[in-house]
Amino acid sequence: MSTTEDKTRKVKLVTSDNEEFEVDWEVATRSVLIKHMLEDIGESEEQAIPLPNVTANVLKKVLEWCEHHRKDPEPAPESSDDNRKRTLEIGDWDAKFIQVDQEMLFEIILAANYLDIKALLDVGCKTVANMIKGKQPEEIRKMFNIVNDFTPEEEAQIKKENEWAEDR
Amino acid sequence: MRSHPPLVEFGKSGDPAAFATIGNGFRIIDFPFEIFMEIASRMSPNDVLNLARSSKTLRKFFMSKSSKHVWVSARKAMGIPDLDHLSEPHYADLLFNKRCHIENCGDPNAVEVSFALGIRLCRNYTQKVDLLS
Repeated sequence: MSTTEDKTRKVKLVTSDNEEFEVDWEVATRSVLIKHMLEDIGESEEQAIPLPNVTANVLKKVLEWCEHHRKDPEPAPESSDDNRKRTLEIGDWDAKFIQVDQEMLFEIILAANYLDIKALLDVGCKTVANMIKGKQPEEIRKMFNIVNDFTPEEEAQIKKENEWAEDR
Repeated sequence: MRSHPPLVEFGKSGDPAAFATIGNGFRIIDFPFEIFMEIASRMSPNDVLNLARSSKTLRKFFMSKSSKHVWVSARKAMGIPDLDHLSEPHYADLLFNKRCHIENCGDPNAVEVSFALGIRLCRNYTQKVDLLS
């Protein structure tokens, strides 16, 4: 578990494309996955943590977020889904941070999920939800490169069909 | 979570190799199931409805009763009360789409809503049908 020594400890991370990053313990442990891995390997500081699901360009971006949020308090455990505060507001710094192209946005979301960084995953998912907000199906398709596989007749029909489909 | 039918394209879910190979072709529906749910749970019922109308895969996913909790959480986040006799997509459509439900009318500014009957009518048909009085 974390000790006061940990604060000065450096952590080595190795990406899928074999780039090595050395970061402060406090920054790296924004990721619950890395935190647990560090707990598992104990005090052997020399050991690098392999992150086979993250490339260097994405990790760099993720670490930028972790660096900025290194002092954030632990998030309160989620209450029930119904009571969860569900605004789509994103803080100023985060909003600027997440202004990236769609591919990078999706990569950040995947990495945040894999690395278990809930607050960053939240920022990414809110951003995608915001992109969808108020858009018609055609605009959604255009934005996310979704192929319209409905015929015009089907498309008119589904607007009138709003019941659960039979589960097959 | 496990019993939920995955999106057709969700085959990559859980395959670590899929992460490293994301290229320009990566689409929103390629997200693993749990991420897709995270995104959907931050949307409004109207946005879920529009997303469910954007492709067959997405429609199959959202119109399955096993996706009910997505609709419910989207609705509750907006403070919209339960309405047990209507399905969630029906309820969302009734609330957010202003199209008159009379076949061949389709007036886009129908303002009279009967939650009991689950229908929305334009003024013209409200008078004719006299259901909502």
